[in-house]
Amino acid sequence: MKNDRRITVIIQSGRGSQEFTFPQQTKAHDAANEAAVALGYPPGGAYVLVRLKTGEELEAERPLVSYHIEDGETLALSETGSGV
Amino acid sequence: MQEELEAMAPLAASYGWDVVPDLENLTVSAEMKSAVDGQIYVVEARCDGYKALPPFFEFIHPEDGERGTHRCYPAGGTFFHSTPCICVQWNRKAYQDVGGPHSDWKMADWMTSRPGTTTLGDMFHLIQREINNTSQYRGRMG
Repeated sequence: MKNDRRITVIIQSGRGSQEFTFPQQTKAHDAANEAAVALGYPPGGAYVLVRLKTGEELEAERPLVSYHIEDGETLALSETGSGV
Repeated sequence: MQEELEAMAPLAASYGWDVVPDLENLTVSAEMKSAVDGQIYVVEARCDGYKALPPFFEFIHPEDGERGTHRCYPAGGTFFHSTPCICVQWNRKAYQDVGGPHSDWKMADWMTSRPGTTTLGDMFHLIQREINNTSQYRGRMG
């Protein structure tokens, strides 16, 4: 079934890089949170993924599949937030 | 410091940063390019006392090495203060103790105020994100 398909991406961050496999329907913020914890960021933070190929910031509620991300593509993870 | 630089190496390669560590003098600089207008920025982190204290970030002009003036800094968004400095708790220069705008922050608390941005890689990455932000980045400050 299409909804069972999975996608493998490389997620890079300031704290390291790791390969992750998610169901294609995973929302961007769920993928970001899972990767954040795995890469050593504190749980419960606000994180964002950027598609390095296009520079596009993934919207939190959109599923990964809606971006047509290719298997093996690289995403960048960071904390959201602003200066003061 | 070295461990953090190694951890950020894949990200640095993806963004094309030219990272120059000077471990003897506890500084590291990264040259990065804005995806919005192609401007090149050089940002240096001075890490004496790190991590008891946050690094001291300074922008350096890529053409003549001038340091810390408006023309060295990007503008726009909420991080780049007209002092000029990167106005965030992980930058020592933002604290009034060293001439920054904030008298209301305690430098000793920097690690807990933004727990998702406590490594050099996190910090350089946020700077890159800011200069790539099409809705907020405004080119050079001066």
